[in-house]
Amino acid sequence: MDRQKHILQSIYRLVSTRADENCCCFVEDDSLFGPDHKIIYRHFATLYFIFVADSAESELGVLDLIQVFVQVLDSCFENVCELDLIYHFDRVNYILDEIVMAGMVLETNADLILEAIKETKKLEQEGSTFGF
Amino acid sequence: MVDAFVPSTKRGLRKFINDVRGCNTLQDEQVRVRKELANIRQKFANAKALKAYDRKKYAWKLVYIYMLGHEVEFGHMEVINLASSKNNSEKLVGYVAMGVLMGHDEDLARLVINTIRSDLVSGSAFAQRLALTFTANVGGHELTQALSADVLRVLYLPESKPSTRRKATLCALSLWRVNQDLIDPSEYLSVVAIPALEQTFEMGLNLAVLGTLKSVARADPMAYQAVYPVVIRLLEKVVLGESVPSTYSYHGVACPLVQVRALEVLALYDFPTDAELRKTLVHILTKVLSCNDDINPQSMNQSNANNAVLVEAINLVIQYGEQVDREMMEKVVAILVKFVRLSDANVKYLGLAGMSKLAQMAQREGLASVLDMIRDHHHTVRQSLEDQDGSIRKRALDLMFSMCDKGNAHEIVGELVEYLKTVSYNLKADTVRKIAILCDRFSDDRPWYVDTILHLIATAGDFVPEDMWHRLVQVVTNNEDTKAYAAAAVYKMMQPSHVHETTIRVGSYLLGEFGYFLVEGNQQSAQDLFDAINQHLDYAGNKTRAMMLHAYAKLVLLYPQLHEDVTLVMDAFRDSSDPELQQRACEYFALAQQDRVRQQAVFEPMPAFPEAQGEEAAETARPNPTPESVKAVDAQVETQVEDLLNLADKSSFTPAPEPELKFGKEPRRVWLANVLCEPKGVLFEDHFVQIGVQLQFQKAAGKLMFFVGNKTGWVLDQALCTVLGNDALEVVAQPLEPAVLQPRAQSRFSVAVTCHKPFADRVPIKVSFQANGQFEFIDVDLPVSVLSFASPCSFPDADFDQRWDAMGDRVQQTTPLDHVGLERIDAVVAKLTALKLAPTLSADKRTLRGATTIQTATVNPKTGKPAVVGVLVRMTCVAGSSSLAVRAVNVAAAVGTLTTVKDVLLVL
Repeated sequence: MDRQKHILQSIYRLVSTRADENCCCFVEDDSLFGPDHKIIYRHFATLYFIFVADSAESELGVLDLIQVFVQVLDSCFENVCELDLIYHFDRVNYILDEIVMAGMVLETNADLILEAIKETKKLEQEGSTFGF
Repeated sequence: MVDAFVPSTKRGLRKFINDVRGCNTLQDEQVRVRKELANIRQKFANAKALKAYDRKKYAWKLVYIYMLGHEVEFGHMEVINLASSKNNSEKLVGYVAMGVLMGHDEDLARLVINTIRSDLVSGSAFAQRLALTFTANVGGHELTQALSADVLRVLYLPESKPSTRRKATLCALSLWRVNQDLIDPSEYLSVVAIPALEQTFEMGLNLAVLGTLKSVARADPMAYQAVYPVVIRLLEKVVLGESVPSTYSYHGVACPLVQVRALEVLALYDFPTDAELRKTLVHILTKVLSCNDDINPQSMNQSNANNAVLVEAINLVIQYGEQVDREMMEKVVAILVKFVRLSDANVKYLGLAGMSKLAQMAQREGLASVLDMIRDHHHTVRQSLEDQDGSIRKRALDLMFSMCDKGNAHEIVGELVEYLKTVSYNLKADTVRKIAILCDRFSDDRPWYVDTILHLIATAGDFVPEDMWHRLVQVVTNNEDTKAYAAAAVYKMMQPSHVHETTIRVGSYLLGEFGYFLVEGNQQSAQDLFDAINQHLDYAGNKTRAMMLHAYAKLVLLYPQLHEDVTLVMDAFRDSSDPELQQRACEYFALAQQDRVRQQAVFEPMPAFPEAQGEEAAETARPNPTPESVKAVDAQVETQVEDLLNLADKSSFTPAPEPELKFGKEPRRVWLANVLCEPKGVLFEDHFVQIGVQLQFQKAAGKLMFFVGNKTGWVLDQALCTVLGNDALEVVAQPLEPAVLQPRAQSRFSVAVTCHKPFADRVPIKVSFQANGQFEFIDVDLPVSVLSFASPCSFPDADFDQRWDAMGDRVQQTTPLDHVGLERIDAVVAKLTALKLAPTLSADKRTLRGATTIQTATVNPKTGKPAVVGVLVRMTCVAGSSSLAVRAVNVAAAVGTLTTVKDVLLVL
């Protein structure tokens, strides 16, 4: 828990002090995760989307992934803002589970992600009949 | 708009979130959260009465509280019950909440194994996917051991839908990280990978398969070789053909991430030798490299997608190096140059990073033409050093470093030294280090080398690690022609009335050793040398003063006219409060009374140092030029101890044995297991530090010496170790010294332990230190078990059985050992011997008997001698598994022995 807080605070400090206009979306901080990792983020209005990846990961690939994530959130919440994420953190969790799993990218197609989420919703409503 | 979920659990949750948001201070929030936790705890106390609605609501509240950063110590059972529910909605909440709340807690994970297993085989795709996601995210040893077979079954099942299979492959990958024997290459390729990759329309599955291959094939490229042509064919279809479903076109680029992953997999292998494959690959790469030409990116997203693929293709071409034709290499250089010059910061960053890789490759393979092409853009790179963005500056610095060779070394080092004046704080240490390495690499011009390093010390002394000036001393000592020059240069540097501490050190050392060149050349008098050093005595630190004293001792031997001055200083330090200084002053003072022959023997000029191997000697050489030579005469034993981790002469730390292979995130268990039965070893290692330990036990007492080595290139300070004993195990710890860990140096602390009665629990050690202003905490277990105080005893089997039976009604502890069977009985015997259990093997080799006594320091009032607790161990082995039983008169002794043996055998 201490480490979790420490990581959140450090990354926030790192990222929030960077200007959007002239800075790239990549930061390295060896003290946090060691030299083999980098922080890749995007800033939309009041929201930062931050991914930590190993140094061999494609930076732009992750930026695309963030874009997909935001697209999906946008379709779910209509112009996503931070209040959506705070009050609907459960949905955000479901959505993220459809995009990333065990630190690996699962799907990059926004339509398919939305479909998977719809399907989950349908099954959820069906209630207790499954499997038996 | 997709209204994805029913907001049925929302109202109570929403109110709680509102309350938390309304809190003005952290304290208010804590009060509110605590109140809520108390409420939930109370509700859960009578969980059966709760409605499903409420259970879900409280689960979400716990998740929310946890995400806010508060500890959640209960409710796991209720969450697990939700996951086990047959109701889809409850199951969903349960799994997501488990995934968040449990983290990597293996004990909790053990509780859900049955739920997950029944979901995996349930035939409900919904439950299967939830179970796979959870297993993949949590991973770990327990889940891997219990669920591998079920996950693989889902993965290989022909009926599995692509959407399930894609989760199964990533789940298998997650478990594979724990146990690399899990995935059989030929089965994986023939059942999953090749069919999936040949069927391009399931891009999601392809993505997952390629991601898995990227990891598993890296560990064993040969085993997965068969997939290489398949990946090339896939790329051919995606890049050259048009056969990609339009839904996968991302801003006009076909599945960028699939292309990226495919190129990454190709990068695991060399340039193909097969002419046909080679032709196709070159065709693909040419196409990707030229994509950039005609696209005029309208949106950032489109160029991102495009460039992501492009960057990966460039990496691949750089990796092939000379094997690709010149035209393609030129194309790559041209694209990178274009990147570096663009105003888009992301692209610039990647361009600089790519060019750095290119330069390294060109240096390695001696491609002068490529290096020339890069050097043409020296100016642009130089400008990027001043970029507003720290990340870009860092890349530019790396590139400056990689593009440096003999021809431009002076120029680049000069620029970097100039850059040092304006460099931002967080890059300063790195810049200093890079300058030093370059200087060292191209140090043929020695005066230049000496001047540059001295300049670094003078201008950025705080950032100059010890070993850098040690290296300077080494180079000067080993090169006769440099000595006089260095002495003169350092003499000049010592002139200002206040200089950096490191300057005083290097000055004292060099003037003490080689100052006589200046006197012989009539440049300075002996008195000048003494004054140049001594004027800094008042403000120098004690360690520096010790070096100054040593320099005086050397000078006075050559120049008796300094006798009075030197004696005065020595005399003043004979009652110094610093023990090191005091000892030195007394020793030098006493030596001065001895005859000259003896003095000369002690103060012989330092012999040449053995040259460090390899290029990065600047980083690695540790000549240890402190005046230890005097102390070394009677301190040889001590240096042996100090070198436990071989820090003194190795470039990097001896890596701890590679336990990751088997245990993933749990290497500590492996280290601990090794140290528990060895007299010394590595207890912990991460990217900051390595902690080694040396152990000695005698009867009920033990002494542990810990070595904390700083692996990084920077200083770790405020290092602290705490270890608290208990009534069974008394612990007396000395503080960690020194508390400031210099780069690649070590500190140590000792711990004395005494066993008062048998114990089962391990005592934790907490190590903390500050790295770049952030505190790091390390928790390890004190490698002391009840068996550390054992003294073996042996008696015939019959005798053993008699005692075993006699003890039968006391305490017995048993455990199965699934992974240790008859086949490895010899290794088991060796381990048990190391644990002082005196094992004897029965004739059929199926039963191991061991007996030992735990020595304690508690005096038995009846006998007047220290109490001793007997422990008997019996292990019965069959093929593939065994079971362990321990009997002792004391529960703690039995449990302690059992867990220790189990832990140690775990790493067999």
